[in-house]
Amino acid sequence: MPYLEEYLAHLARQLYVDTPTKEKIIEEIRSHLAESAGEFHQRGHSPEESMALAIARFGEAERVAKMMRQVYVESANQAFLAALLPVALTMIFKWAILPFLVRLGSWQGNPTPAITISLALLALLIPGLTMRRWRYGYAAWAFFSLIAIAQL
Amino acid sequence: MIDLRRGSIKVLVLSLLAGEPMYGYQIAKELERRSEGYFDFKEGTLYPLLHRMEKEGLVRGEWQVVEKGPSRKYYSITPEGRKTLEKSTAEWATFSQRLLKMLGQEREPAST
Repeated sequence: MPYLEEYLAHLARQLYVDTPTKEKIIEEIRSHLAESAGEFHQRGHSPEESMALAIARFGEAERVAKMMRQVYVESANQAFLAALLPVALTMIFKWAILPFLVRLGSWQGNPTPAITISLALLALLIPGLTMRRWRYGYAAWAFFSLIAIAQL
Repeated sequence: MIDLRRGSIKVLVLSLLAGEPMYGYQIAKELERRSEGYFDFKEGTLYPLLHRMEKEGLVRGEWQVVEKGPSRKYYSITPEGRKTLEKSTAEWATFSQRLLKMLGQEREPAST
């Protein structure tokens, strides 16, 4: 059905998500429109009319794509920011807290392993709260965490 | 009023899924049937909501192969989704009670 394919292609072009996710979204919408058009067809409409009615009831491709983008881009941004947190925490610790403690005279030298582990655990908690079920989030977080550990 | 209806779709979807797992088209039809057309919305807006709820861990999506026809993604409510449903239901109940009470208080002087 060319009308359906045209609509789905138009939607897919505006999704800006990774290919496997895009394919799954399109497959889900295709299934929805096929069933919806089938219902119109049973009511006596021609196949072309049925698909046009199903698409009209589904909504404009631009609007659906925009809303879907917000879901994925928003969570990607959140995960990226959360992944950056360990680095930010490390930098704050290294450049602000540590010199302050040294200046006070209460601490000389590098942080002990216990402090490093505590910092790593703290960093682990923060992205864990925001990156639920986002597979790339933890990979990004692990990458930035390694940079943070190397900085210490 | 439109904003209120839009805001309530999430809790309505959770409420439907608390009964049984459903796929997108089925959810749209059930919402239309149970609300007798009151919660009329473009069906395409349902999918961003479902995907968002999946990301938030409120629902779980699972593809199932159907013998005749295309595969369907069934959504089921998670324990976290049930907690959210419980909380949202209580919030909506309080909201509607308070609103009706206030409207009732405003109407009384007018009717006398």
